Amino acid sequence: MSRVGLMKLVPLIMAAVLMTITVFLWPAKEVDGGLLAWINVSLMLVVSLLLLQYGIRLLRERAEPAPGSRLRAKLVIGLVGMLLVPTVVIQLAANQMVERGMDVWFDVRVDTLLDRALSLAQGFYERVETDMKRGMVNYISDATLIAAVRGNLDYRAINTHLAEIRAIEGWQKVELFDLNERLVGGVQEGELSALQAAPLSDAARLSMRLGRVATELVARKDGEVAVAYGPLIGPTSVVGLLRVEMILPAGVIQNARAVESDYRSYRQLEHNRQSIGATFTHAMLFVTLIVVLVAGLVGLLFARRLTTPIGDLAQALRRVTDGDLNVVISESSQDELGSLARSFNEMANRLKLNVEAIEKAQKDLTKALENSRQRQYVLESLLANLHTGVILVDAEGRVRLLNQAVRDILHLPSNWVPSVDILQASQGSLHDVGDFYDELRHQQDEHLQREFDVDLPDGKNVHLLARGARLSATASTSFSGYLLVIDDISELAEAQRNKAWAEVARRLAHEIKNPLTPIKLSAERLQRRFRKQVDDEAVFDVCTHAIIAQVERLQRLIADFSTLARMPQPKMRDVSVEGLLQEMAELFNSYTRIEFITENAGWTCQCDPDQVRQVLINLMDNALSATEANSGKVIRMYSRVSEEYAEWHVEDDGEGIEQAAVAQLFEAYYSTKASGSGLGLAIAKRIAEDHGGELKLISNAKPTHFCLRLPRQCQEKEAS
Amino acid sequence: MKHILHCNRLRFLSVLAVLFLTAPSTVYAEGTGELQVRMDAQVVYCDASLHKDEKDFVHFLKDGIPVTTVWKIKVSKLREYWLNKKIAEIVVAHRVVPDLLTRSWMLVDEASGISRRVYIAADVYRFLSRLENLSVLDRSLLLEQTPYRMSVSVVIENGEMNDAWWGGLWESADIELNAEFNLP
Repeated sequence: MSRVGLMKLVPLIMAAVLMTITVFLWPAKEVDGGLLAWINVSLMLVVSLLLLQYGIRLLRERAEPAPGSRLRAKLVIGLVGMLLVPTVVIQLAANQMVERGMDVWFDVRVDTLLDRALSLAQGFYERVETDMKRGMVNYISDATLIAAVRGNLDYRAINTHLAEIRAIEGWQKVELFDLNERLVGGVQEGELSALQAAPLSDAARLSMRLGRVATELVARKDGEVAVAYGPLIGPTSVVGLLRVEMILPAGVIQNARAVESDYRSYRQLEHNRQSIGATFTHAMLFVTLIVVLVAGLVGLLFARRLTTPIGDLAQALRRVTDGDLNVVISESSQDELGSLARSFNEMANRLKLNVEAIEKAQKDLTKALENSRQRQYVLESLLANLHTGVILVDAEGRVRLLNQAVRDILHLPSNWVPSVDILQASQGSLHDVGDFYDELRHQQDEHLQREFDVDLPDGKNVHLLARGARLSATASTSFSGYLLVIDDISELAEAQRNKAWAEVARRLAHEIKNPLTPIKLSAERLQRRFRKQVDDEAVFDVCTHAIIAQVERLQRLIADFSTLARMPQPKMRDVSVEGLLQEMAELFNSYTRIEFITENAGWTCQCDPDQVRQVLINLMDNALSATEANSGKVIRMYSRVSEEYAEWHVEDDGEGIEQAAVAQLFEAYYSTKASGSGLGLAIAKRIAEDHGGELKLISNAKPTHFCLRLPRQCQEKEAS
Repeated sequence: MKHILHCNRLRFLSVLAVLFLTAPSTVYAEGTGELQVRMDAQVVYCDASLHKDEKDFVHFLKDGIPVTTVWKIKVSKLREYWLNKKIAEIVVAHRVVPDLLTRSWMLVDEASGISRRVYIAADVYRFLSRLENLSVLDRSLLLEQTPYRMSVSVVIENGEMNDAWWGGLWESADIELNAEFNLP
């Protein structure tokens, strides 16, 4: 268990100890501690219950205690502990002293002394009684007295006799009663105290009934009186009673009673010895508890006074830690804590001002950054949407910016990062760009423009127009470097080339087409008219046929030229994809090596059927030419239709197309066939492009695979 | 002050304190004696005796220490669902003061003030341990067919009696006798 956990158990342990002490000190019936015992028990119970409740609260407390509470608890415990230890020691010592003192008080010698004193006092009384009884015995058979109670003597004679007896025995009062308890006569020392005699007591009656002398002690206002009763015994029975009184000497009686009182007090104390000890213990305990409680309260007040500023400071520090700088703590105290509070307030105020300044600067910076980000975002969006490649190179040759168009144009790998030296990165497709940059860097002029071809990794070749400018540091920006702008002008160049070729074809057709017909007619006329006149007909036939054949070939060439030059606009309409395939099957049904794979799914495509048919015928002608030496189903034609596109595929298992020819396959006037014009695939490609589609070579051999792909829905742009 | 008025803590402490402090009042209650209720046409009487050893009294009396038996007789009307209703309560104190010089005992009835000196220990024991023919209340105060309970609690005190007002605060009965009765 951690130290904090143990500390939390301290109140519970203290409560348990206090409760145990309470149980031990619980007032017993026979050892009465008085009200103090119950007050002590109540106090200890209250304190132990407070400790118990505090301990339970500590155990159940999950959150961090209030700042300063631990210090306060330690101070109170320390103060109470400092007082508790000496107080307990004093109590133990005092208890010991009381025990010793009581041993002395109740010593055996004191006990014996008191017993003897009491015996002396009792002896006095016994002596008085014995003397009175002995004297009384002399008169129980006195004839004069018996005669008196029988009424045989007159009152004066009786009193005279009684006075003699009183004088002889030294009694203060002598009275004579008959059997009916009637006073017969009486004398007393001094004046008569009462006219009527006091009635007989129980002891007197008993004495008369039993016929025995008896004595008793009567306490009166003027002192204690010993009274003796003597029955007057006649010949057969008791006939009267003689009552005599003797006032005991006041001084002796006082002393005897004092001895008795002291003896009683001593015995009482002895009986209450344990109670006296308990009372003293409880008195001391009460003082101890009061001292501890007062010390605890004073300690609590003192600790609270001491720890409150510390707690406030800790609380304020916690608020500052949490970001709340609007913290001001009381500076009422003039001591070190007050100085600390003042320093803290100054610090918090300064911190608040600094934070406000930082927040203001941060806000300005954030705003500037936001503007910068917006500008950067606009610039990046612009660059990303540009079809022109832009490369920004700093003065050290590191690429600082490179837009997506550069990657697209140069087919850069996706993992290529621009923050490298452009010269080191000028490998592969970037080699020519690197050369261009190097030239720009070393030239004197600020600008440079070049056109060059770049071989891409996938075998394609693009024609680039590169423009470069040197950027110098200005007042607004410290950046210096080079800006390279790259445009892919391959299509533009091809379009220009096609346009040039179309113009050439138009002029050639115009210049060559007209003379060819007369040449052909003249050759046929020569053949008809002069064949019989020549010596060698065979040679003549060969020559004329050659002229005619070449002229026809030239006419076809011219026709192709004309077609290329004056390609008509496609007339779009819905055409069945399978219908076109079916037409091809019917057209080429004489060729057994063609396999048509048809699926009548009812798909249509918006296109010019005549032009598409021309493309497909061209592709089939090429396939047939490539497979003349083959047998079997070596040509396959089929269609594929998706939601967006319709495709016609032509495959053949011929020799295939050399890799070097692939790049120029669709260029005009490029042909691998001796008799080819090189315009077939160029025209086919143009038709496909005029439809918004494409004609592509999927594989150049095994099988040679062409695909005409057209959109199923006509696009206005393409149509226009 | 704020802590004292804290309700939860006060409630917690008060419950526990009451639990502890009510314990002693029940601990010492015991019953060794006899109680008999008698009545005539006008008065309800009480006869009670303690089964207490004579030596218990003599132990103190021989040393001259006065012994007092305080009899508190209470008549209550029994109620089933509520506390019993007290009808009458009287207190009788029998005090014996020994006189060591004359070896006699003064028997004092504190209620009436009547005293008597005796020389026989048996009289002392009887005076302290018995309550005979004590009239408790007028019969007219009782209802017919109603159960009542007579409770006699006896406190035996040695030495001088504590007449201070707080003397009875923590006093507990040594012997308690109960008898239920109703009018015939």
